[in-house]
Amino acid sequence: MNALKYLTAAAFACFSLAACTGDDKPDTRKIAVWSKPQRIMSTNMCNDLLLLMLVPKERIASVTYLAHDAVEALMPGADAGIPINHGTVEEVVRQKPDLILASPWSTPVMRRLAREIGAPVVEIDSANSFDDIRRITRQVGYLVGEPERAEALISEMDRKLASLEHELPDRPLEVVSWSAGNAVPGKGTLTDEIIRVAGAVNLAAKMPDDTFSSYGIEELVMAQPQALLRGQTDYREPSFRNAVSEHPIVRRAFDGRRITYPVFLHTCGLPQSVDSAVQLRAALAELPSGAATW
Amino acid sequence: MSWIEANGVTVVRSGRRIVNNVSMRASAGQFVGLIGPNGAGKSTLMSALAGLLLPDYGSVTIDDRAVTEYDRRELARVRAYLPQSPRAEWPVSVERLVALGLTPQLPVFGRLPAAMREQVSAALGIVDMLDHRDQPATTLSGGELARAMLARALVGDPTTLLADEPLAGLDPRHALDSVHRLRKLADAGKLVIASIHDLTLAARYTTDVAVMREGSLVAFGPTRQTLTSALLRDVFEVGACVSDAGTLGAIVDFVPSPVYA
Amino acid sequence: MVSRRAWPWLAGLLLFVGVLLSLGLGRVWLEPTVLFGSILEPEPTLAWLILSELRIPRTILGILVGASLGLSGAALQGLLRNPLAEPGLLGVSSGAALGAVIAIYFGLSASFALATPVLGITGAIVAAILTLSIGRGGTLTMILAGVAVSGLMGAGLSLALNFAPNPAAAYEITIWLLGTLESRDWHQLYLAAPFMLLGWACLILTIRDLNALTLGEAQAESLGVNPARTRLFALAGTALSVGAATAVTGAVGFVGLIAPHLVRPFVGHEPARVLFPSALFGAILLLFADVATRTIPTGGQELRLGVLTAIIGTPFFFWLVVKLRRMSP
Repeated sequence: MNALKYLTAAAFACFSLAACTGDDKPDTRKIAVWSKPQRIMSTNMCNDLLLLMLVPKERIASVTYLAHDAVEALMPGADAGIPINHGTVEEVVRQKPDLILASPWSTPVMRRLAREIGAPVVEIDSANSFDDIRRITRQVGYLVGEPERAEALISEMDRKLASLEHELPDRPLEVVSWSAGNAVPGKGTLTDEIIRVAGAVNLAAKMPDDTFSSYGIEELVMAQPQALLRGQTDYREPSFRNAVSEHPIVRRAFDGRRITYPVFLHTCGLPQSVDSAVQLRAALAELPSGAATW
Repeated sequence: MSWIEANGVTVVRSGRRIVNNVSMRASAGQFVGLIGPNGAGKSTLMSALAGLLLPDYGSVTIDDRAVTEYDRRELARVRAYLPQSPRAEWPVSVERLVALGLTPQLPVFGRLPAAMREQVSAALGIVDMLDHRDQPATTLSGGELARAMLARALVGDPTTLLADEPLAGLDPRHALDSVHRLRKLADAGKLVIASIHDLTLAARYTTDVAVMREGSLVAFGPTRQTLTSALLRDVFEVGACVSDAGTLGAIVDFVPSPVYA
Repeated sequence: MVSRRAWPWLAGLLLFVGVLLSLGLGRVWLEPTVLFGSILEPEPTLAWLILSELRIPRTILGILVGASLGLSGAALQGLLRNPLAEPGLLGVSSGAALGAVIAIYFGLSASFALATPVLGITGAIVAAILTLSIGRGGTLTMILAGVAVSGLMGAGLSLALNFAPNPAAAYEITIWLLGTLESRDWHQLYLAAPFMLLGWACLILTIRDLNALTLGEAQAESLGVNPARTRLFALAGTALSVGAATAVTGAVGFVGLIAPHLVRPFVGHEPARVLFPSALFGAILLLFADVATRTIPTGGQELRLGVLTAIIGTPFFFWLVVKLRRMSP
């Protein structure tokens, strides 16, 4: 009996100790930006791109190694001469930033060490809608001390959105972003909103379940979208491309009816995501008319 | 008539001669007891005689044909081999187990043809296992399994039977039973070679003995003349007293030396 | 329980029901009259499209894969005289998986339609050659070699995942490894079927030897069995049939282990008698499992075939171990 009591007390003590040393995430609203941060470090690809758009190179401590390809596609040369990081804690300590833009999954170790060197860590969400994009861009703009630049980017985006809305196509085409039945973006995703803004209908949005679900070939055959979208990670311009590895009936039916989009514009909260909608609108206009033939 | 002949059979493993230049010839009608201390090379010699082990030097012939010239299935029909402690790996019936002795001719599917069923029954009869014919082999006692395996070896009516330690682990009653059967087989015209640990049984039932020590064959001949106290003392390095070798009343005693008294 | 004479009818009925379900059920519900009536329609309808291009090849492939797994499992259990043996032991499935993953990793599967199954079959054969050459000289050595080769292939798989070029590729690799018959088409069937049939032929050639092995290797050898040849055919048969199966569907486990056990109460323990029924029951098991993956409501995500067979197979495995433990002295 004594042993049991001792063990319980010890366990309780351990848990309380852990709770005390647990990390609390800094609330961005409480951070007072006395002066513009001079050494900003980004440990997440999406944040890299926002940072490069908002802040001059001298004030950037480092961006991740993943950013380069996306930068080449969006704003070539923007990352020339900027140091690279791999998101490790050692680099945090070595590069001595005064602000860290991280993803929502930063580790407690990183947060603790960042606190020790006096750098606030801010976790930036990913975007699921254009509202999210506005919020995130403003948030980052405020943090890095360039709120006007952020507003300028947002206005540009809103202008394009307005012009898209102005010239909606007569008949909305039905599409789905599909790659061999894997996770298909449905309602509540940025892809869904981009499709809507481009003037098409996302068939996956009609699924009753989650935001991402699997959509098999049988459903595809019955639903008969007019085009298939596919996210490409190689950042090229959207194009009509055939994915050879798919099922023959899909290949035959959607020959010439495939549109690819750069994935990062659909997962990061960037104002340039509206460009994906513009490109999609243009691509849809060039589709052969009529339905897919099986 | 048939015979087995070993000519200078030598088996080398890791530099050691486990069987060293053994030459012998045994023919039908003989029940050869292969005896010797542990590690003398008896099992290895039996494998070589059975054609399952290719000696590094020397050769084995059956009926004047080298064992290597026989096709595997032909060899299976001519000689039967029982290894030490044979096991049944699956709980098949005793009847099916014994029928496996006819593997070269056995049909893969369907019931046993009538002729084969008779052969199986005959073999079961010889070992007195007819009552157990439908019992799963894995549920047999040690003695019953030994008899069933013997039936397996005999079902194909081979001219030669090579059995490695067929009496190991058997109760006195079953051991007597089995060694008696083996002698009867030899008397009926087969050639039986069996390695035996129990020297009294060897002295009583074998017609000939082959005595091995450290890989070499130190003696081979009719039991009565060959199995002497002096030979046993030499081979087993312990005092031995053999009386009436070659008769049913033979006794082999090991006499403790004064050191153990 | 079911008498010994009735079991072929039971099995046939189960297979028939399995085929009907596999053709009739899917993610999209089509009225059976519409579905099967589409065969008679002069113009191909959507229902016919689904039936002929999706469900029929999937059903046939399911039968072939299940039969390969069952046949190979029974052959290996007979060869190794161990009721816990299954095709994965020889390293062949892992080799097939690695071959297929290499195709995905280097993007070959995006440019050449049959790259994944072709490389998968190649991987299976390479693994088999490795196992055979390292594992000469005995059954135990062959098993150990198989385990070593499995480990090597597994290390390769982990390496591929570790250095996947992007998260999408890593996901694609992981999800492929979980096994599926979804969206398999006629081309993959045409590619894999000859290998599977050839593998079956090799496995069937061992049937007589397997029976003799009931007496153990020494006695079997004395009865004319050539153990090295038996091992070679068992390995080659497994490499071809299970290798091709894994190359097309991904890693589907437990079917090769379970099928022989399901048939032994009906046909007895003689390896020769277990072989063909295991193939049949393997096919039945896989068909039903595949139908289940299509019909169990999972709220969106596809339930992968390998996952389902693992979920069902593991408790069975536990039960088997307990049963054997109780039986052994």
